Amino acid sequence: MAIFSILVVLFVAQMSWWIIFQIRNSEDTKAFMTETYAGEQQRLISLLNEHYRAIYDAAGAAVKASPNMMSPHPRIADDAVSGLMRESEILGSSLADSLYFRIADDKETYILFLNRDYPGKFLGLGSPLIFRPSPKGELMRPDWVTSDIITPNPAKFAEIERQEHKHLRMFLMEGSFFIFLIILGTYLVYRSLQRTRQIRQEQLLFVHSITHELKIPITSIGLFIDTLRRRQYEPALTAELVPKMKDDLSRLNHLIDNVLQVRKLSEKQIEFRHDPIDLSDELKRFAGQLAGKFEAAGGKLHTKIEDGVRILGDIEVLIRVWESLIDNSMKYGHAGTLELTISLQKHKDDAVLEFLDNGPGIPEGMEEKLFEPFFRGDIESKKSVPGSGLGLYLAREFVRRSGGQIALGNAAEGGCIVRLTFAKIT
Amino acid sequence: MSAKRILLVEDEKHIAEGIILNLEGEGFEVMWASDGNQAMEYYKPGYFDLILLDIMLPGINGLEVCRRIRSKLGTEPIMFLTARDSLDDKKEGLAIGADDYITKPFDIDELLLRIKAIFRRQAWLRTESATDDAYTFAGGTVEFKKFEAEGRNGRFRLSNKECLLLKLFIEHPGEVISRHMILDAVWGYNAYPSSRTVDNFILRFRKNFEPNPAEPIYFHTEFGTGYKFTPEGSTSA
Repeated sequence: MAIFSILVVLFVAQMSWWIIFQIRNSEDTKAFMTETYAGEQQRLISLLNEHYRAIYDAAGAAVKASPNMMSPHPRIADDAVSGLMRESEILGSSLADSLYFRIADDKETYILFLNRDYPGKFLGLGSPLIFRPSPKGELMRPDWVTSDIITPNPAKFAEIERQEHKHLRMFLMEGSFFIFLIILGTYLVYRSLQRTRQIRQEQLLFVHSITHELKIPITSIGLFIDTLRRRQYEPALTAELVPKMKDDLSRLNHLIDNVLQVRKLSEKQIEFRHDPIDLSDELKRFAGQLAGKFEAAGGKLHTKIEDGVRILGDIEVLIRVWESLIDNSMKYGHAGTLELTISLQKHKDDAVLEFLDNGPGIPEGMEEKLFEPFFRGDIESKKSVPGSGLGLYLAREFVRRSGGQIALGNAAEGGCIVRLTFAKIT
Repeated sequence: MSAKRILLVEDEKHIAEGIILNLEGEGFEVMWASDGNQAMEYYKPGYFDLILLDIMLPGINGLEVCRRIRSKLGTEPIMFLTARDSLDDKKEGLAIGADDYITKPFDIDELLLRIKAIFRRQAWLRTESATDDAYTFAGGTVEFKKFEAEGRNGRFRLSNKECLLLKLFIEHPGEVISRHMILDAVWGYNAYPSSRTVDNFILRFRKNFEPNPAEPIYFHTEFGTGYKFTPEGSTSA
């Protein structure tokens, strides 16, 4: 279990590290892209400036050559302009969609930016790039193209952002999915380990319980045989002990029978009939047969059986259940003289059958546990509820599969009460 | 001599009947308790000569019954009688003061032999010998009847087995007591202790009687052979 936990922690740590790594990686990529773009911007700016200087020089030369030139000279910087345009296309800058210039008069010299559909529209006067002639008639340096003017295409940046977000989303989703898978897998493995352990414990308990239960009649038969041998098979003693040995043998047989029934039940080899049964009649007959056995043992049997209660079920199975319940009461359900009350009555749509004894009842909170196979009450002695630990388990399986319910409880006046409920028919 | 009284604690009626038939056949007086609570009701310190105790009992189990008897300072020999046969149960039973252990199914002859062996050891413990019931040596005093002793740290209680072992030593002063002799005189057939168990007894004696337990002058270990008791105290092993 410790190794298992360590593995899980390692897995999750590895996965988390991977996610963090990927997120950081994605941030790095973004930073790199941004830097690259910034570099590109700078490169373009210097390139544009070079072209620009060429235009400026050409304009300066033109002004020198013909100081009174007033009209646009479209050809002066044609080459330079088209170079500028080509470069500017890289970023699709707002600056140099197209560019042209003209020299307006001897006071001011303008270089104007034009639209791409040169030489159509002017961007207009007052554009940031203005040449001013010096008092000597020389052109001033233009404002160079700067990063204020050349801005990277926002669409490009949006694209980088979008890519980064996409990566982040992907890593987060993949990562969480993997972590979820790991946790789910871990849980499933853990559950299956638990189940295996539980099955192993149940098997151990089974073997332990069964061996213990088998050893009791074997011990007692062995003891009786030894006793008879030591007493040279005294006829009187033999007559006394042989029936007891037979009891022990039938106890052995009963135990083995129960074990086989459990196996058959778990392999669904037992078919349950659903015949109409007159429960009242069957119960009276059962109680009649039981009465003799009870009196012989010094007990008292009371019946309160309502007439005409009919259900669907398997009478052989039901009698088997009744016998096992009576067995429990006879063995453990009394402190002194056993008194047992069997009652049957209609309750709304149900037939309610109760077995009430005058014993110590069952410990609080054990009502459900007692039905578990091999559960035997108090853990310390493993034997507060003696027997194979299969009787009540089988009883409940039989009753359920016959379509009924069984519950254990303590009666208000003391004693254990077993209630069987079936849907009644008319 | 009156009949030995045995308290049989066994929840299985047939097994109890079989045992009772045989014990009574041997002339013992048997009282039967069918569960732990009943056993504690019947139990009176000093009344029984032996308690035969099943471990798996309804209510309080046999181990707990044994614990309760020992906590009432009961020194009666207790023999466990149970279907449990795992080593842990055996160790636990012996650790809480049982004298012997027999697992079901058992042979009645063997059970009777063991019971007699226990009685023989008890009888030997009770015999008036040179030691009498109170024995004084240089290291302290042992009072067998009271299951008590007085050593350098004051009075302390002795278990049945400690009494048996002390008596064995006291009756053989200066002699090497072999492991075999100890097993025969003190432990039951099936309850052979490990040499560690015997060592633990010796350690307790040393702790209580020796001026310096690390260098014993009364209770010597004879390596490879056994133990030796020197009542007058001697450093020579």
